[in-house]
Amino acid sequence: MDFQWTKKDLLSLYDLSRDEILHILNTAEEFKKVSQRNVKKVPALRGRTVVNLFVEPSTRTRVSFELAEQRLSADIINMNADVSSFRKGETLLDTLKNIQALQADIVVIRHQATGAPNFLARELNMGVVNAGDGAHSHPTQALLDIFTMREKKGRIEGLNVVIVGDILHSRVARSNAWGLIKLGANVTFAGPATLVPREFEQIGVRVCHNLKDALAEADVINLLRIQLERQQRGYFPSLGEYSRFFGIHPETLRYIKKDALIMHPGPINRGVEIDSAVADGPQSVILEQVTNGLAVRMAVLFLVAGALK
Amino acid sequence: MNDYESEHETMFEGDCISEAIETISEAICEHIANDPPESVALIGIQAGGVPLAKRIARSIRERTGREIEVGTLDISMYRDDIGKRKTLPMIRETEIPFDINDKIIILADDVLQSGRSVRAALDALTDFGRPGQIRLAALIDRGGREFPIHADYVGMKVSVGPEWRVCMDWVECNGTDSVFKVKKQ
Repeated sequence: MDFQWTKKDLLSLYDLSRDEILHILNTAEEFKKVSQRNVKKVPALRGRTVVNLFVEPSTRTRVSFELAEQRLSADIINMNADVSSFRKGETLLDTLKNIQALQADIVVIRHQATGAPNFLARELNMGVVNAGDGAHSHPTQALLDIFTMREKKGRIEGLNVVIVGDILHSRVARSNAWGLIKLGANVTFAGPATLVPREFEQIGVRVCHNLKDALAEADVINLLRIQLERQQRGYFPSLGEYSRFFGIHPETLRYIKKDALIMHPGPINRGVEIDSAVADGPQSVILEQVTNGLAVRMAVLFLVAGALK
Repeated sequence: MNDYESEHETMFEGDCISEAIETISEAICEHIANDPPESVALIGIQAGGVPLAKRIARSIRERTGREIEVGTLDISMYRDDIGKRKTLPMIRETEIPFDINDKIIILADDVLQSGRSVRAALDALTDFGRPGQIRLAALIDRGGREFPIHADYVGMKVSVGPEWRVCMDWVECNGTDSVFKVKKQ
């Protein structure tokens, strides 16, 4: 029987079933082909209006969503944190109710407040797609990561996936873990104890504070960006020390599997969490993640649009 | 088929369907007799048109020894009824492993009714290139056109009231060949 997608919002992989995640990935496979054609555009969302509301700044995610919308033939409105309504003190909900009154169909939102997309999804008839909320969730990033892993490895079940870095503040790590665990992967979080507390074991991941131990059996190594301001807050003594203990260097490649994938959601800090030789090396799929992100976002927007009443 | 709870009725089965495919294949062979085999290709519209396209290709091979290439086309991204349908159709594979430019493309679909699927298929196909000609083969023409579209090759013509949906099962997908109608709810 055909799988029926019924959700008007994409908020978090935590809310999705295994079948729903697989359905998005399968749908994305066909959308990936659209971008490989001469005519890179389909009329699937013709006549629909999508609002990109990036209250927290973003370049790559916003560009990826915007291009996905264009390739689906949607009409687009871009708004950011400087829009005058926020400056004048209008609430987020009022701003969006005004946009909804203009018959927009979907809002793609990035917000620094955890749960902002969930709140809007409850209050609005429009479809809501979460493009990252606080340290909570970033479902399309996790979906594109999982898509890339499945494409390269042919499966997710049984894969050993190690996510390295600032897990504590990372919506990417949480989202990946929720999705990967549902699909049967073994997930390890690795990094300094200050950024990878043991509490994460409660969601079903292995926590490891020694990089070499963490990576020994890894099929996929997903590196998170180390935000420079974390060091000022005392999570680790210096960037140099972080890089020495938790960065991936050419020497690291000697003790990991030869076919382990190296991933990074970007933007990368060359010389901190990853050396250029690794980021640009044969095991890196960092740019393929970017390509796949477009396909995944097209699939998500298509499914959400189809579920709107 | 047992997934349908409402009233349904079998219209054709087995040999009757094979004969209809032979009718189509014979007409195509006549039509393309003077065209080189590589200038003709079949493309099945997902899902029901795909087994039809493959069977027509097999029949042409058995009749003439000519190998006709077969592709598949999903039209979900080209439909005009997203949001109007209760559920979104599942996107199936589009696989056109050949250049369609300047070729005679024969689109295959199982049931022709409104013509809207064919309209979407024409849009989808022309995004892949510029075929020399596009023709249409339909196993069942049940009438009820909403667009000015007609099939060049028809297996069977039936007249069915608008309260019925005409559906097909294929040996390749469901284990049996059958055409049946389901009362709309």
